[in-house]
Amino acid sequence: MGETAIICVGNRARSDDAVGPLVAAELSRHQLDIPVHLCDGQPGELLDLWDHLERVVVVDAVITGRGRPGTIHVLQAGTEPLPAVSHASSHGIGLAESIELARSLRLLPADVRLIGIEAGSLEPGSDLTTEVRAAIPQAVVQVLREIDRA
Amino acid sequence: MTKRTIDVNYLARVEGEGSLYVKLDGDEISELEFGIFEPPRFFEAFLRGRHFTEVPDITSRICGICPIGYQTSSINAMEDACGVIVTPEIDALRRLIYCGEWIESHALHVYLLHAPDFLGYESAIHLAKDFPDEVQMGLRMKKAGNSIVDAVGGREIHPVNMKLGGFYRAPTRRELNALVPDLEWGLDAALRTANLVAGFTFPELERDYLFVAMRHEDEYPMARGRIASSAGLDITAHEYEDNFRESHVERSNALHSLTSDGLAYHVGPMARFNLNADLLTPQAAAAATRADLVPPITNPFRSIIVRAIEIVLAFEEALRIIDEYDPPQPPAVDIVPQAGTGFGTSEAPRGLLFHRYQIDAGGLIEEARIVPPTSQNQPTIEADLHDLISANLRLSDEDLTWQCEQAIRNYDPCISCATHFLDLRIHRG
Repeated sequence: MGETAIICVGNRARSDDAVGPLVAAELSRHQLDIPVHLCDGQPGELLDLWDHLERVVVVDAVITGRGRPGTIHVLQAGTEPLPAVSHASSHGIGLAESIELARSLRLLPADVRLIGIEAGSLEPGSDLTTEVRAAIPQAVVQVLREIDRA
Repeated sequence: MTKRTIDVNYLARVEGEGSLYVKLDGDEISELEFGIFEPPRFFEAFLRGRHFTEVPDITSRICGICPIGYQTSSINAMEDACGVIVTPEIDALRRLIYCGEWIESHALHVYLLHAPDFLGYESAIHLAKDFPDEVQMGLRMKKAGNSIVDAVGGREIHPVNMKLGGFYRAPTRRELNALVPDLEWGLDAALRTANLVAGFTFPELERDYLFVAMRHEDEYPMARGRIASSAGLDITAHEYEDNFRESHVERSNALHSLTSDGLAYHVGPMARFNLNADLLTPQAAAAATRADLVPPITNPFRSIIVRAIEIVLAFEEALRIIDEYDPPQPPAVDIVPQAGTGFGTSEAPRGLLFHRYQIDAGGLIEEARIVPPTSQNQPTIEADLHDLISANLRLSDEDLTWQCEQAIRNYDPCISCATHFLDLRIHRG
């Protein structure tokens, strides 16, 4: 009963942080029967989006320092704490903090997959790095794979 | 003589990126720098040449937390330039959406950003494990505030329904009445919040501030009014720049504001409360009395209580406005450009927000000036830190750093806006 959703997080004005919204745009061509949401990663909004959901796939730019820009990381955030994942946010609370806040509040869906695309640049600006732009098709494939896993 | 430094390279739980560097020689503070290093945003420059009707939508982009403040001050300035006075119904709707912004901004700050400081938690995530009900209450209040912004403004973030002269579309009574149950819950939650934060332990710090806030004869200030100070100032927005000036400080991407006499001043909830406590709504006034808040409040750490009182006020006002709501017809008054200069202010959640625009006869913007609250508070924040550190030198670096960060968050600094914020370093060298 619509218990899965895809949430694409990001800011189009922060270089590679735009990857989340751009993956959402690509996913819209696939006519999925599950909702694809855009979100700025703020806790209130995220908690609302995944309220009563069992599974969510979250797409966002990340900086892990493990892998080159464009590397796709798949993290299971539902059952284990996220490693130190840095998210580009000009606000005090980003995606990783929002997920951990939801976990503290016991409001985290059981199954949260984070598809994190290693960012090269999160500076203000509308251009993505070549590597991250090139990773978008693979990120879309990874999202679809996670959805099919159900 | 011992020397030490306090150095916070990236200040958490503030909007934007800033830093604090403090160098101590024994008991002397030899350097104290509160810096803002988010890139300057050049809004004032790229407004030049744009059409005057675009200003609310462009300036709303300066901040995702307080877009209504930017929209309102810019609209006030343009309406001032063109000699337009709106109807009481439009004024009421503007106050309603402003209530939404105060609620969402204050609820976020009180619960997720500032309360952890008082309760000894590293972050809201840690706080939430022990106080899940309270944190959820804060988030739900924020959501109620957002729902007002959504209903009146067309969407929650960077709302699109405000325009020069009023609104593109007036919400229906039914749309606003649908908000009432959440707002009634929110008013009760805000009262509980005020009781909760009034019970916190507040670090000792009393300062002799010059408070500056708007003042309106009929209402606690939000979207309209004159500019007043605790020193007896009573001016219109036209006279703002005669009384306050900005200067660039090398370490910071934000401009520092001082009075024309070179004095630091304090804007924001404490300033509003101290200058307008007689205009509190009934339940806000009662909550302030229960919290033992008697103006003037001069301990900046008690600002968290004032924010809670202002949340109460905003819920009360929102409910009143919806109860009395008469949709403006038409939703906006016509506005024709006139060559000249317009001045506008409003009370953003963090304090007085000044805009000035010069436009030509065709409505093109020739010059723009925006003075956000955080840049006005910057010298005062540094002065608070100076006094706080001087009085607490016996503390360990860790405890002193904690108190400094807590003191900075008294101002809920929005560094994103101010750069048109923290990174804390205390150096006992």
